[in-house]
Amino acid sequence: MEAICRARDLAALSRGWNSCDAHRVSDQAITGSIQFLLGAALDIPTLVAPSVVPTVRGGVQLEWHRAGMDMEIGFEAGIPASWYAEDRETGESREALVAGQRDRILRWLRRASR
Amino acid sequence: MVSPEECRERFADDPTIFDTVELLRRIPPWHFVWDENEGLHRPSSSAFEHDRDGDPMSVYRSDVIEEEGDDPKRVMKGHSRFGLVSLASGFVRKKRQTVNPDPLRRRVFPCEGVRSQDKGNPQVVRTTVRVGDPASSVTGRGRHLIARRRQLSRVRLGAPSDPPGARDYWGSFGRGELPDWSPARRQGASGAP
Repeated sequence: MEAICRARDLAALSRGWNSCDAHRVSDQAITGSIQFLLGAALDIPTLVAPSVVPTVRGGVQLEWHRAGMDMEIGFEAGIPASWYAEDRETGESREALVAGQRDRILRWLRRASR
Repeated sequence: MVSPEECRERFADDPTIFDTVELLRRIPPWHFVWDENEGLHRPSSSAFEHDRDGDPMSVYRSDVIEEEGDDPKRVMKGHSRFGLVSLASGFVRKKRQTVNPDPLRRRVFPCEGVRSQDKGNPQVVRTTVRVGDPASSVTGRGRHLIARRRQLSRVRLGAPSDPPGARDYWGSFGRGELPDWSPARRQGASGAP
């Protein structure tokens, strides 16, 4: 719930929140990130809350950096969501669009939620 | 989004900016994340992405600031909760980025940019000699942090006066030391989603 609230709160950022000319965070990006978190939490009851950060193009990025894993999932309006994950110990990494990758993403999230 | 080739052509590397030149990037408070692996807060990769218009991310040149008789801390004026990241030009070149001066904007914009291509592609660092108004002081929060990203796997952070290469890792903010990153909440980074 905490991460969901943080994603929702990003809507309060005004344009230029990065001291330059960053876009406001779009409703579509916020909704996409929240929907993803809700779905993932159903599959992974132990899912650890991610860091939730805005992007300059008005997107939302979810991040997990734990259990030897780095994982990022980005949501932006008008752009397919993408994800990136890396195992620090083995060097194994993945980077792809979220679409069609649900099972793989969930496997990485389980590892990051150990 | 421009291609890597186009990006390199449009934002060619300027070899007169030596590898030892420190490039300074302000980090907004919303871009700090908790890294359990490292046991500290650090900037998110989102802090090093293209500007919203697709131009390279911008940074300040500490050498030019100092040549103008100013203190790099000036770039922090009016940004009390922001952090400051220092990257050596040589470091970003090693990460397949170019360091490209942006003279047309030097007198106009208080910020400039380094723009990265998508993952695995060349990146460009645009620099400016423009310095903000006289600053109060660096908050200190962002001075000892780490950033980790595909290309920018490790970003050296520290005081601008640190010799390049003196550290490529930095030190530490414990959980709870940067709690006020959210625009409307003051919460930590863990817990159930």
